[in-house]
Amino acid sequence: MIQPIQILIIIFATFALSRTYLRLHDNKITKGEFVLWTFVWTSVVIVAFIPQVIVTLSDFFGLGRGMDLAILTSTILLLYLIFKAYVRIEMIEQDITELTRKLALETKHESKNQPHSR
Amino acid sequence: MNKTFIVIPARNESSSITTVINDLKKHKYDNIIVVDDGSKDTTSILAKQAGATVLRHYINRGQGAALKTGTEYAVLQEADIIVHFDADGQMRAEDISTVIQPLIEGKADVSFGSRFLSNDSNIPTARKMMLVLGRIFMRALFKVTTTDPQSGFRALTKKAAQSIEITQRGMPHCSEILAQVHKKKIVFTEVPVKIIYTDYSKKHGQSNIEALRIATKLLWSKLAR
Repeated sequence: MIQPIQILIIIFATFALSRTYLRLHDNKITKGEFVLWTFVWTSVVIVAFIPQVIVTLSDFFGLGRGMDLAILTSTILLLYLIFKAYVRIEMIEQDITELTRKLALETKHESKNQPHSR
Repeated sequence: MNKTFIVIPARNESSSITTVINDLKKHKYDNIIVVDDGSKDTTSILAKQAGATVLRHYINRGQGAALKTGTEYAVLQEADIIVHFDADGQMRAEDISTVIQPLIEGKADVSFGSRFLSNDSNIPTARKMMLVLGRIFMRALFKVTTTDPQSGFRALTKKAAQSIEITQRGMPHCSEILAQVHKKKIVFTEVPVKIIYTDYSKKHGQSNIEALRIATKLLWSKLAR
């Protein structure tokens, strides 16, 4: 019999899947990211529907319990996402610095070249 | 005749900037670039009034970023020698001639001012210990063997300034410049300078906690490469 927690997980994962599709539609994520996230949320739906899958997989990978595999996979995924977010923030910081520098140099350049009104 | 530009990154230095610029002018350094790094006070206005060229970062991007902006501007102005100088009054304008001398004579492309080569600097004990630890750290990480790796007092020829790419926005730029000088085999030298520690400069300079942050950032950048 299906448990309430399974229903909740399936509803949430389906919602996340719809968001993933919408973000691709808005060009906010790349096709690669869309594939990755679709894979993640579809896996969540499959595991919620058929929890036996995770037990079989954990046996295959040599882990004791199904939950161990779920936690391990989630941790790796989260660490990867933190790394990606860090890289992206750093890139944005660099862009902001470059913009600030350009603005500083161009403002100086313009004020130097502007003819004096008086 | 060598065209020397003095680049001063400044953030909220309204109480010292005028004195620093006046002192530089007294020593016949007229090409002074102040990079106001998002100050909330009157640093820009005062620097302009004192006769410096002011470049303004509308938001704070860090001392390394400000130095890069000032250095780029100096290169655009056809500077022969670019001197990095502090806005808090720690450095003495009279030492600039010592720092740029090896560059004028063509003996080096980068010259670092070292407070450890001079007995005059009244370095506080805690700061001294932190600087020595910094030296060991730099030797282990980047094989840099200078006596004062955290010195912000340096002079570069135009060629060296164009070759060194400052990517560290904050304080780690000191170590980054040194590491690049070593890596790119740029000829460098160290000369003694006196650093004046006042209550004001100590408050505005690097704290020991900041030093730890710099070390972490450098380690991270080394590992991420």
